[in-house]
Parts: sequence; structure tokens; C-alpha cells
Amino acid sequence: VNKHSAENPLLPSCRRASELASAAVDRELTRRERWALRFHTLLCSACRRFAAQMRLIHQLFADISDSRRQRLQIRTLRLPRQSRQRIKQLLWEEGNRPPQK
Amino acid sequence: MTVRSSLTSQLDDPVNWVDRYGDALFRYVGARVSNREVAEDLVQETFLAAFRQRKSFDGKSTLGTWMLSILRHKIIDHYRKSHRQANDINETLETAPSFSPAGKWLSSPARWRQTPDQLAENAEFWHIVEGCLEDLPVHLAHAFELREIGLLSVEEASRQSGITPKNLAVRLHRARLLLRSCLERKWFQRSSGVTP
Repeated sequence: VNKHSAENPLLPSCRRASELASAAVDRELTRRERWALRFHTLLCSACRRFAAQMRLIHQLFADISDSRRQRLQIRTLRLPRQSRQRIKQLLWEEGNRPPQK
Repeated sequence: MTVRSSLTSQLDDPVNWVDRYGDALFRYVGARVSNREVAEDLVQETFLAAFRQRKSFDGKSTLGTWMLSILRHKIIDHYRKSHRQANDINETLETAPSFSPAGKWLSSPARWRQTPDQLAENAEFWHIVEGCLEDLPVHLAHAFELREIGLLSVEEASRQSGITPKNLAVRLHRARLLLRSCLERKWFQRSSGVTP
């Protein structure tokens, strides 16, 4: 039960439809979810586009070259270079600080 | 080299720690806070604290595990200081909402005219993608990264980020909404004249 439970499961809002379109990239939807999404996108061109864009993005990332994949990982989930340099500098200063009394 | 002396030399070379453990610590904190600067600060504080407390490291765990436990405390402190709950990443909070309270699009997705073939090898497009990913709240970028770039299953990705599959689904949804609208704004609306 979630906050959207008041919604008619067969007539989901665009928000709910977009959640389903996102989930469809990650897992197999249940039969009920599949019908809700299908029915909604039949009537709603915005969500139809959204669902297609989710598939497009997923496909683009699935097909990238190893070098680009690595580059993307470095940019998003590695400690950024500037931070790295700054921390090294701070540690170096800490290690070379004259002993305190 | 004995175990003891290799341990001592590791401890005496803190500048090397950053290359060895920096990414792992950043990934850990990345799943737990939303703000990139906060994430970087917490990693920095962890290294400095580890250096100051290095005498208390007993070698029972690995150096990396020990630093991770320091970071874990830093994260708890951070949330306590900011008067928020430890799980304060509010999964439903939308800083830039995509939907009205009734669940309708505030701004409908536009039609993208380019095909995957036209985009896959387009360096400019990927440059925009990188920028858009960097603009995401770090916990959302983290979720997206594990799943779409790291190609992990939902189960594996949620295990690695220490959240439930359901929470991961919420983060992925948010990440995709933000990435989608960023790409639309910065690429698809601008490049329609560039590519036939």
C-alpha cells in the first residue's frame, strides 16, 4: 500500500505510468502493471514518449564501448580529481606539521 | 618485509591512501547522502581523522575496512548535526518536481527525433550526458550508475547501495526523470537543426 493507492490501478496517473515505464527497464512487470501501462500509454502520448525514451536511454547505455563506460564511471562515481588533490595536500600538510606541545 | 613493517609503511604513507581507498569511500557515501559537496567533505574528513587516529589502528581489520567504519560515524554525525534523521534522503521529496500533485506532467516529454544510431557514437551527445549525470543528486547518480552503467541487476545494485529494491526503484525513477529532462533541455531541443 503506498500513497498512490487511491488511484485506480487500471487508470494510473502519468506519475504512476512513468514509474512503471522506469521499472519496465529493470524487471518484468506483473500482468496488472503491464496492462495499466499499456492502457495508459494508449491514451497518453506524453507517457508513450517517456516510455520510449526510457528504453532508448537504457539501450544507449547498454551498447556503449568499454572505454566510454569507464569514462562515465570515472566522472560520476569516482572521487573527483580536485578533491583527491586537495585531500592529498591536506594529508601531506598534516604529516609534515611540527609536533604540537 | 614482515606484516608489521608493511603495515607501518602503509600507515606512514597517507597520501597513497587517497588513491587506494578514495573511490571506495566515495561510493559508500554516495549511496547515503544526496549532496555531492557533502559527500566529498565526508570523505576528506574521514582521511584526516584516520591520519590523526592512525596510532589506534590495530591491524585487526584491513585499513580500508577501518576507514569505512570512520566514514560510517562521520555520516551519522553529519545527519545528527543537520538535525535530520539518519535516513533523511527523502525518497519522495522532489526538488524539481516533474508532476503536479494530481500526477500529471508539469511539462510533457517532447518527441526526440534522433535514433539510437545517431546518438551512440556522437561524442558531443555523450559529453552532455556526462554533464547531466554530474548534476544529479549524488545518491541518484549512484543508483543510476550501478544499474545502467555498471549493468548490475536490481538485486545486486540494491545490495551494494544498502537500500531495498523498492527504494532503488524510486531512486532510478527519479534519476531517469531528471536525466531525461536534462537531455531534452540541453541536447534534443538544441540539436534538432544539427542532425537531419
